[in-house]
Amino acid sequence: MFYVKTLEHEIELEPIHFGQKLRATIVRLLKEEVEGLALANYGFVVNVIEVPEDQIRGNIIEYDTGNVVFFVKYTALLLRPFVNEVVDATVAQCNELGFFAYVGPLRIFVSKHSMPEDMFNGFDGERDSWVSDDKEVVISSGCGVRLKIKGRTVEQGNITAIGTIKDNYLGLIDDGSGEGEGL
Amino acid sequence: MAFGASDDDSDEEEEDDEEEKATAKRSRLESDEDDEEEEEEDEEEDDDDDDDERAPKSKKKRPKIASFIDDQAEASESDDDDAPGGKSKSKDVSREYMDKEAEAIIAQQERRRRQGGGGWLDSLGGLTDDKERDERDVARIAAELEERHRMDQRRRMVVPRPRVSGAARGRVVSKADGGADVDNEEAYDEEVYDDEEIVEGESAPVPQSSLMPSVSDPALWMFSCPTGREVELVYQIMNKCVAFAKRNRPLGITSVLVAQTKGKIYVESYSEPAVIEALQGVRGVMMYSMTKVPISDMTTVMNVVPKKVPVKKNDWVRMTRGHFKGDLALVNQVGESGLKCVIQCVPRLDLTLADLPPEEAKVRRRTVRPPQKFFNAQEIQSAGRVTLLRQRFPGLNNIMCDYYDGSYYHDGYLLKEVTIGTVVKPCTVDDPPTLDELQRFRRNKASSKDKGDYDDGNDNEENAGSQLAGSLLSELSELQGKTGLASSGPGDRGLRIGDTIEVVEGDLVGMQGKIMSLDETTVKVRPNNDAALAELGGMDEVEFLMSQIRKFIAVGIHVKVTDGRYANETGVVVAVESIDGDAGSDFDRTAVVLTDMTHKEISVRTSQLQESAEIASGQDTLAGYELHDLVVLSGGGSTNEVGVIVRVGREEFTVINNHGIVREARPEELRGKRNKPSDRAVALDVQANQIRCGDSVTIVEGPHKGKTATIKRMSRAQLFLYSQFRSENSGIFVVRSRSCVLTGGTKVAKGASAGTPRDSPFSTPSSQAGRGPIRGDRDESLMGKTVRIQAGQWKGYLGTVSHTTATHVQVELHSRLKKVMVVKDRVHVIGDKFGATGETGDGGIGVAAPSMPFTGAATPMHGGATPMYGGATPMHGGATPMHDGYGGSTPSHSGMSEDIWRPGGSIDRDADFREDGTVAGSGWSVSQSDSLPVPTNPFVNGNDNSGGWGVSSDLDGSTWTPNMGETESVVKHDPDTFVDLHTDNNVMDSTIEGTGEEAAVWFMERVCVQLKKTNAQAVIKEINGSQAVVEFEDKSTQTVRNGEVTMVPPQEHDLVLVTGGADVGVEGELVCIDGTDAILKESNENFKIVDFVHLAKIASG
Repeated sequence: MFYVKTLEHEIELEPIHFGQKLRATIVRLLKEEVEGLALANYGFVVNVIEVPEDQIRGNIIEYDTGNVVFFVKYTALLLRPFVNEVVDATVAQCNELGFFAYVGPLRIFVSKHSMPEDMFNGFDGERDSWVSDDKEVVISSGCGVRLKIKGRTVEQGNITAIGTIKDNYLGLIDDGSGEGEGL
Repeated sequence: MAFGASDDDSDEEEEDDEEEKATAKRSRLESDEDDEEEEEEDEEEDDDDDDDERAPKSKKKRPKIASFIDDQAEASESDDDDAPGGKSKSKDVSREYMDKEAEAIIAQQERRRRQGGGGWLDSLGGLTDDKERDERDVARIAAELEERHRMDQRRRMVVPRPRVSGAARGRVVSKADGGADVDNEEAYDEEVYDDEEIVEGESAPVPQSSLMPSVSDPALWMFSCPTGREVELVYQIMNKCVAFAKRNRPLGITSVLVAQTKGKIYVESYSEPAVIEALQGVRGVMMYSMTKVPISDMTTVMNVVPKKVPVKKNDWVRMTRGHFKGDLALVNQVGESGLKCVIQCVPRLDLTLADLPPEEAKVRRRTVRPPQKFFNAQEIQSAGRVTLLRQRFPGLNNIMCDYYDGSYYHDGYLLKEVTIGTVVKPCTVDDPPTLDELQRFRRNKASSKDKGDYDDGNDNEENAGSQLAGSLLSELSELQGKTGLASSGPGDRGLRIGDTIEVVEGDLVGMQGKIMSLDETTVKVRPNNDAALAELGGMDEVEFLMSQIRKFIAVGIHVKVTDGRYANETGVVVAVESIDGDAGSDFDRTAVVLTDMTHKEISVRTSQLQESAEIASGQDTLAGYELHDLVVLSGGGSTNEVGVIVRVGREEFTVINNHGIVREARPEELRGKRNKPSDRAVALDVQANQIRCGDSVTIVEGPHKGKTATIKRMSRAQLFLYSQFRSENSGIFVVRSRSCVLTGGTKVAKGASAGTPRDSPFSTPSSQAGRGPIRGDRDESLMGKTVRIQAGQWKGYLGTVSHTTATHVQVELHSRLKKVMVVKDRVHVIGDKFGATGETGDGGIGVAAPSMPFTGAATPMHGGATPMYGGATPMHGGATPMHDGYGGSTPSHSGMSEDIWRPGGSIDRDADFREDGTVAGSGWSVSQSDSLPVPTNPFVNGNDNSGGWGVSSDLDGSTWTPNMGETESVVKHDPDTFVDLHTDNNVMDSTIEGTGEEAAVWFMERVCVQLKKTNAQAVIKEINGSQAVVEFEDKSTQTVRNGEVTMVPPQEHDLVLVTGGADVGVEGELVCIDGTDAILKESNENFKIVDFVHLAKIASG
């Protein structure tokens, strides 16, 4: 789920940056540091929307380094996966254990145990795809799938999830051909 | 008891007791003074009185101890029992403490004995006043407690030497009981035999290690004596000790003892002279044999070797010899002497032996251990063996046996008479028959019947031994079942506080919660969701029986395996399944866990799982190697085999080598890590981008085509890529660097990476001077330069660059005999190879940053030459010949080709060569731009949009293959040809771009060419810059550009022109082709051997 939230971040700047472009530097560094990062409690920072300049707080110059820590408040677009959330994801890779799908930066693994029964043994190594017994459904990289997130793993700077397509209305929604099957 | 009974009246009495106690204490403290004797006497009297009064109580207590001691006495060795002076000995034992405290007590004891004699007990009968007795008890217990506390320290020191401690114990008991216990004497007698038990009974358990003797304890001396006189001698010494103590000349020994060793007695003392004194005059002790027992061996002296328990019928024994070693056997009968017994065991028959020639059979019998297998008479007979004899086992007349090969078999078991102690040993408590063994021992009657065994008249009865095994087996399995039940039962289902559980029974079925507390049978659970909480009406904890809940492992959580085969693995639960048809599945379900490390799926029972955020890296290191280390392998035959560790096992690694082959390697096979070189290394991808470890690449060809992965390690041109999508080999796979293309955020490096090859033209001189081919991934420009190190440990040192990598240079210091690796940025070029520093001034630019000269040079290059030289100053000095070279030979480039671009035979690998090819191409282009009159330069465009190089490279790559195809196979493997062809490609590239032209070396008049479009062959008649007029076989002419034609590979007997090499310009007839060499016959009949690649077919005339 996407959020817009105001967050705070600390940026340490070396004296070389102190000058006219200080604020621009701060904003730039903030984006560099924060965008794409997964904050454990908030999810992925997809985009830094706004950095109100009046919200940048400086600090004293550190005695031994001359660096200054700035506290920056910023508004960010966040992507946070929730357990039991249903998302549309793009399949990135299939292997014999299941497939990986991405929702933006979020990687979701769908195990073969979380696929419908008729796909459990359906891995086709040649095409690197998962095929249902009736050959109707073919999930290969590039496909769009609708899946339900069953679990999250939060690591340092990254969040991964486990998903399932073994439920009603879940599964392949786009075969990747661009024609768009829909549901 | 005593405290409870004491009432107000007793207070006074208690006080009295306190007084008494104080006196006693004092007396003990001061007892070293002789004049204390008197006081002691008094106290003794008091004590005795006490004793008298307490007698009934003590009597009450006595039987218990006595019976205990009796038991012990029975159990203990009888040797001591028959010692005549058991009592005196024990008394003497109590004398051994020569400290003052002990002395006092000894005196006390002595007196009491004198006083009381045999009948003193009788005098106790008169005192029956209950109340008084209780009060006495109170006092006694108080004193006892105090004493116990005081003795604790001593006891701890004494205990490891049982007999000694026994003596000590005797004293302890006596004191603990208030200094004059009724039991004292009797207790002494008996305590000697089992002091340890009493110690254990009375004091809190003390850790064994703290009981070990130390340097602060008395030392132990060993003396030899005639065998059999040990005990006697000990008594003698004891008596002497007592006598001396009485005379107030105590011997300074603390104990004398006899252990199980024959002919040895031990004396314990703090001082050696005291020992000598104590043994002086004792006959029988061999003084010269005095040996001090090392502290470490002191406990060994006291080790009690368990007496051999006689083997009985139906005992389990273990074989100790031969093939049967370790096998379980059952005693069938014990011989009369008790030395031999008949055992029954599962035979180990080797039926093949009979077929073998005697020598082989002998060897085989010695080496091969046949498996355990029941004897089957039919099998033997059907195999055509000697007819079996039915015999009675000698000594066991009632049993009919099969006699085969010198052994008797009954009911499938082997019967054998063996010596107890040597051939068989009884199964000890430490080594009981295992379930497995019993199972093997047990013979299923049904199966034996199927085989049509001799029924031996007891057809329906299982062999007695087998039955026995069976019963023991069932007993054991029952036992195990119990424990198994315990482990899988409610007591331990892997539940811990904090676990999430699910209610599976009762009203609240389906509810989930966290365990707040748990005991044997019940758990308190806090429901997880508020709805349930609300439903429960304010109760925030619910109590459940263990049987009502099960551990709840949700799909998607991260878990750690706590037990079982996969213990310590961590991973994410991808599925939870119940075990089909298993009644226990209610409680225990199977979770499928995708492991973090190996990306494998494992099935684990939920009871073995624990929710955890921990991420196991498995066994991380082994012998200093870690997962994903690049290691040098040995033992694989190939010398340059390297690999990346993809799994660290307990004793071995799984390694994927540079050919992508996965194999196991033991730590000894690894010859060190190569991580550092790997991190420094740079390779070129298919677009000639520099790629390094950590870069993300897409594979463009081969089996992994289309995949994206990160470079984990690299070795030469092999990349060890890591992809988290791959499950096998922990995501590592091997791809050649030229099969990849750089992707991702590091693309900015493209310009820079493209720059490296472009640097090369400048750097050629140095390579010309010192080295052969230029490797594209190195900045050779620094080679041989004199540099000054600007930072780091070697700051200020001058040296010559002896080796370069993309990031580092190796500097051979002038002032030290040493080569150091320095980051390239940290060296400053101050001169050429010879130390000349003239050029640095006007150049102004150090070669500090490898990409700098390039970027500096790039732009001006198109405009004018000067800035370029400026940028390239350091290299320029050496470059002069190059410019000279091609200044004079614009069309042919032969000189240049020879001087600069002949990579020589040292390039043997495709990748290298390709790198060179690229270099060559760029080198040409740049050079051409200077020397050719054509105003437009192909790279003006290319450089302006900075993708130009990429485009060029792309074309380079794409046209590459077809060209190879066109070239003859002979030529194909020759690097030089490739260079030429490559040059050609480059020509073509520029042609296609239409921005400039450039000619191949062979692009000369009279050369036979083939039009790419039509494949028609023609001869170049005239050359106009990049265009040429060609004449076809039908004499028609056409104007073509140099890119539109290819050279016709010369064949034997063709007239050829040498376009490169030492013999450039020579014409002749190609006589034959030998590998890469061609033999020419000149017009003057001279034969020349020329590299085939330098040949161009020309039209005759």
